[in-house]
Amino acid sequence: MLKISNLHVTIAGETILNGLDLEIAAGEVHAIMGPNGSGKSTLAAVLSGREGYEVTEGSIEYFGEDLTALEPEERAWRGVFLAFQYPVEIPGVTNMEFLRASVDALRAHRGEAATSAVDFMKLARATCKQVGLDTDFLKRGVNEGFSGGEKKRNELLQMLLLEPKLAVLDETDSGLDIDALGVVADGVNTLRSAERAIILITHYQRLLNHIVPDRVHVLSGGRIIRSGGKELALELEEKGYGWLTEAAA
Amino acid sequence: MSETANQKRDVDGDTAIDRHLEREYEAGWVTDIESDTLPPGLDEDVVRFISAKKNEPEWMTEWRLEAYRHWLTMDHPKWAHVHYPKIDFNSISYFSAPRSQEDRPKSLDEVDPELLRTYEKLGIPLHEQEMLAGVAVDAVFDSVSVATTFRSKLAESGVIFCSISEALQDYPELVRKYMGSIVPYRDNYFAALNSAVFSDGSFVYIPEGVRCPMELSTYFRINAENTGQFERTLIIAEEGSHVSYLEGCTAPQRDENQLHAAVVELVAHKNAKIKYSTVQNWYPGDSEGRGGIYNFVTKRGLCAGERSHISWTQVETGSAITWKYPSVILRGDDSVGEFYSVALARGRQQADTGTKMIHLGKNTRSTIISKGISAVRAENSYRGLVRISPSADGARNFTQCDSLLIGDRCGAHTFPYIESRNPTATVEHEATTSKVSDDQLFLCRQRGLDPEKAVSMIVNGFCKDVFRELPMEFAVEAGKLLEISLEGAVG
Amino acid sequence: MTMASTLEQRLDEFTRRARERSEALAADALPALAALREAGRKTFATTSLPGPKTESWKYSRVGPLLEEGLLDRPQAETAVPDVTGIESFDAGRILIVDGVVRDLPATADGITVTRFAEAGAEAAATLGRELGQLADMSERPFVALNSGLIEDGVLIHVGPDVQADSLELVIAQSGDAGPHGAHPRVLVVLETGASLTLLERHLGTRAVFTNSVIEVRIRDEARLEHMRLQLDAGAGRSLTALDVAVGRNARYDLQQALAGSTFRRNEIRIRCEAPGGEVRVGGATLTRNRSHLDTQMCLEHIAPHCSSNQVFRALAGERSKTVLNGRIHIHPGAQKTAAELSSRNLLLSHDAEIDTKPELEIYADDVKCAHGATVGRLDERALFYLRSRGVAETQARMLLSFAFLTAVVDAFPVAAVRDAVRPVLEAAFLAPAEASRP
Repeated sequence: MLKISNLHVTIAGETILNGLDLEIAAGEVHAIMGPNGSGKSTLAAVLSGREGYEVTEGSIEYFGEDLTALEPEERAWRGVFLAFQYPVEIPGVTNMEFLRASVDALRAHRGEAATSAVDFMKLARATCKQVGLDTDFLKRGVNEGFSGGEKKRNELLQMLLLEPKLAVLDETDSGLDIDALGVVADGVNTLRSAERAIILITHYQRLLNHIVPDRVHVLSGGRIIRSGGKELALELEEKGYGWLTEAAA
Repeated sequence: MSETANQKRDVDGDTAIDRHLEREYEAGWVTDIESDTLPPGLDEDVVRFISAKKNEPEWMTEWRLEAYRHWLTMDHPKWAHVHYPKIDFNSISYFSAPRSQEDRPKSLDEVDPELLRTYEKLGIPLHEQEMLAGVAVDAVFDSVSVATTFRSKLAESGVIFCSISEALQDYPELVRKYMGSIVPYRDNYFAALNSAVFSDGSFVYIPEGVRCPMELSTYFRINAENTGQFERTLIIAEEGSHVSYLEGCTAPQRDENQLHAAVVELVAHKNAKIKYSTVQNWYPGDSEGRGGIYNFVTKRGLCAGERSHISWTQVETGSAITWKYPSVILRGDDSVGEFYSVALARGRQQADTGTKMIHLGKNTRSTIISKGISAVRAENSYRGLVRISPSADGARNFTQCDSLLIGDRCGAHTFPYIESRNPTATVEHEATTSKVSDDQLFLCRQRGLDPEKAVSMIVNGFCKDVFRELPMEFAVEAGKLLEISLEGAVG
Repeated sequence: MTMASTLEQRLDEFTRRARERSEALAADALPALAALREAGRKTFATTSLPGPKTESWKYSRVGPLLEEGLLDRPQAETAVPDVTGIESFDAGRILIVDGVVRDLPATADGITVTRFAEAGAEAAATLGRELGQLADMSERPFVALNSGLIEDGVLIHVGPDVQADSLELVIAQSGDAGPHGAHPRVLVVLETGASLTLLERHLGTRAVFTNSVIEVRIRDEARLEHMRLQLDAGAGRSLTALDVAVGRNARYDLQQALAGSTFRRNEIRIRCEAPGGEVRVGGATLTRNRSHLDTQMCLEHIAPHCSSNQVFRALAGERSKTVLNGRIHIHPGAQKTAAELSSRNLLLSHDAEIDTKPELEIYADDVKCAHGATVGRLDERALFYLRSRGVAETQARMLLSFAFLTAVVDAFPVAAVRDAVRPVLEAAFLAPAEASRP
């Protein structure tokens, strides 16, 4: 599904990703771990098409298509979803109208008719319950005045409604208490399916107790320096990143 | 460092802006219709001609002449934050009427079909059976009212809704009593000009205790070339009555600037409520600032009686220059004045708009919510006055004034005047400015919305507090108008 | 009304007398002064004095400045009044009486404080470079008047990286001069990395026209703490122009405690000319009786990445009037500016007036700008709280009103000044109202 080869990315001339290779097949869950500043969030930004990131070398193929040539919304239409580390507020635009516009934009791309207001409302309410958000949040401005945990649940709500093919969760676990972490994990686990790939970007191993990854990669200095199974995460938890990054350097 | 990224965005922005500017003004066509138009120029004879053409009583002619003579002594105002070449008032024609209107039609069946088609094209069908239920329309084409619908139905409840020309014939005493009482011709330069040469407009009278059974609305359309439009609207709400009035405006696309200098006067007696909503979409001119309407309007309401209520809601997206301050004089104790405004300026548009709330009565309250959006190279100013007089014990005002900038070559300005002379009154004013942030735009795009849809959604969210105040049909129209106006404004 | 008393004629008469006085000045000045005088004279001749329709004078009438004798020169030698300073605020004193420089502190290393007339070569060069560069005369006829009448003034120059001791600038009236016009002029230059604390005090209650112009250049990385006290009410007619330029990563802090007088107007323009500039302005104002106080504040954000924060609190009693025009102007390209202004006002009487006009003029999109203004009553909940604890209502009102004002005084950077200002304000606040003329 996703094939990243020799990816080099710079921000304002500074190299952040430096020859990253990664291949993910449908149905897999990959965890990307690494110390702060290793380039984890840059990877998420480049996959979703954020401005200001320049791919200087290498490629990203998504279902055989060059992902880097696409605008952010075109990637979204093709099923790429990013759960933001810091979700932004949009005052005055209600969550409900935002979600519906988004879902309908994706449906339109698939050649499906727009949702009916009533059906969508039912679905949105049910999904709210699933992620532990009061349905009042649907009437409030997007992330407007939400707490950190509520913002993350709101990201999950969007992910469940949009049913992405490739979901990238950028430190969705940071700043969450144990209950919220469980809710996020349950949400992600319900999305696991044979057609879908999930990338979990995280600094800590604890999320991986709830979402068991197929592969774990350690990112450092802009490239993957070690890959392994879920046991790699436990090893990192025990030893920290030092032994790996030093070995790589 | 980050400057490269910014420059890149600018370049992208430009292409999108260019794309946007190629958009055509949707109401920009001209109706091919025979008109009786006065040659350009203004003198006492022109004033007399207009008055005679309308068969006006002598006092009206005299009042016009006084206004004209006073206008001659006045200077063109310079204080607004707008720039335009000096207007040559002698190059304007002060009267233009569709020829078939010579003998005013008695019913819609007699209206020139070309005119009816004009209004249909604008989305305002004048045939009553085709109308949205519950909206009566007065259609003003260039200088004259061409049709007023639902008159008989309104008459059943005693509501008078007709053109001001007809009102001068049929209800001269009412007109004489109120015209110029709220906006005297001495008020300002354009009010004086309007008083001298006004050609038509709408007249509304709601008798005591009557809740007007439907929304009233006027659609203004400037068609003829080199023509000024000077309409005058007068709405009187007697004790305990209610009325909601809507106003819409469009004009063809022309290279020359056209002048629109209207006067609107509202009077709300004890316990009466007037809600006046405007969606203004005059032709704004092209991307270089050629052409477009100069919209210099004086709108003022008097809360004459206790607990009277006047509410102005406006969505201003058109005109090359807008100069407009719908105001409320809060004379009756416990009266309420409101002003809700969305002003969007793009291209080379210049808007200087706001309100005045003059608190005279005790416990009077006013609310001002202004949302200004500037895009491309436009200049958008809020100018407002809140005056608390010594007599206004316990008066309260709340003002919220927000500006949204789209692009780094436009301007957004706020000029609030607060004058308080009563220690028991409270005035609160807040102003903020923001932009559509890259993060907001990116979130929307990541969720599958194209940039235009994303911007329009964010801007609509920004304006929500005002749209909420519009009557339903207008709210939808306003949202759409904003969306159209914003297309491509962001890259 | 006689023809001679029309405003227009008085304006004309004022203009004619000003020209006469300017032309009568000796021609032996420094080149920098001569040039400025010439420019001032020309500008004054072509600028009309503010009339009822001048927007920036909307709430101030020029009348009190046009009275008989207010353009005359002060008597040649008048007594030096008592200008006792603030206890435990140790500062070298610059004393200007009736517009004449009377006293200067001793010069220290890296710091020059000199009369223009006695400027050495280096100081003269500084004057040549800086004098009149900041105090823009266009549309400001009284700045032009000050320039056109310039004979002397004070230069405060702090050399690069010099951390200067505190200075005190006292602009006072003598006790014995009759009506006259004084036109003090001060130029402050802080070179790169320099720092200075300056206390500016205006003294005098007599019917004298004091038309001061103060120019301040704060170069890169320099910082100026500027405190201004204008606490004498009375018959003074005072007009003070303060023009400040703030350099790269420089900091300017202006804290003011002000009372009204027959006529008092402060025109302040601060320009953030290079990135990283930081400006903080505070104003606590109290007007009583028939006094008048007008603050015309203009913050020009020309360069990106600067910040400004302005807080004004005003109390107006009796028949007094307080005016604030607080303009923030963000120039094209001044991205990442953060600018805020808050104006909070309390009317204490049915005959007092407060006019406040915060303005934003913005030509850059990536900025954070906000202003807020309130005119209103005391917080009823706080009032009730105090009363429920046994404080009588009048006493409670007084406490709260005064607390409202002194919140700004707390921002004065020097404790000794802060402590000295509070009791003065308190006394002014508690003083009985003057019997108003019928």
